[in-house]
Amino acid sequence: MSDSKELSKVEKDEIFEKEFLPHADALITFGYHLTLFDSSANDLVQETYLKAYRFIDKYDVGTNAKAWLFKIMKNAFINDYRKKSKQPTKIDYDEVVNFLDEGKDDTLSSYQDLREEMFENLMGDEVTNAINSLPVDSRTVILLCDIEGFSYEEIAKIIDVPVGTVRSRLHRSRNMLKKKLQVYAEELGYKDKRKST
Amino acid sequence: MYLDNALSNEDATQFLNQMQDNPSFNKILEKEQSFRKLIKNNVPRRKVSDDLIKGIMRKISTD
Repeated sequence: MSDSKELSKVEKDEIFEKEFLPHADALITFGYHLTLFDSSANDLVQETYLKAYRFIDKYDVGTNAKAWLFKIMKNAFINDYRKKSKQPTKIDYDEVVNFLDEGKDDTLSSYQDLREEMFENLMGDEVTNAINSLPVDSRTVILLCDIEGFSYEEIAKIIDVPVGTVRSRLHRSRNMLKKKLQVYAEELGYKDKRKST
Repeated sequence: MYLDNALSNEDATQFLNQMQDNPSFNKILEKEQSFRKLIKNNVPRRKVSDDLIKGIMRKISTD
């Protein structure tokens, strides 16, 4: 964190335009997948940028603006949007599941297989719908990792959980997504021949 | 973790060696790569409208 040195208006505007604005499309994509509505995504982007500007003195120039903005957006979503829409806060079971999973090999034994041939049948809409049907915490980690390319450490900071939780949540979320995609593919006519044997 | 670039250099090398020794692991890795590509290529990047950006800039300048 910076030493909160006072920035001039010109300096703030320059940081904002050069470092923050280039991430607008990434932010609205994330905002849309959090809220599932275009209008709410617009509100969330606006709120994120206004907060980012208000607290711009706390930002270390030239560091990871994208991760900083995503953290602001995620907090804005939890603190403001979710409260306004009166959605109940769900209990995060990750810590419990992590404890139960401790010592298990989660690389292969729980690996959800998805036949590559299925991919040919799936289009963008199905993939987007499948992601949007996941619980918000699951679609969040998939978007942050697989779409935005954040590292586990960056994701941990953005969503305020330990790195181990990011890893296990990603593993479970990807498995959930594969199951949903398999259902979509089967609805589109793909038959997994392994099931009949 | 390998595909997420979350392994150390040493662990990544060890992982790749294990892949070479076990073709079935290799198949799983290929499938996982295809799955990640499917997600990446099929979730469209949305575009922020110029009006939204102008509105944000206006609010900032009047703050």
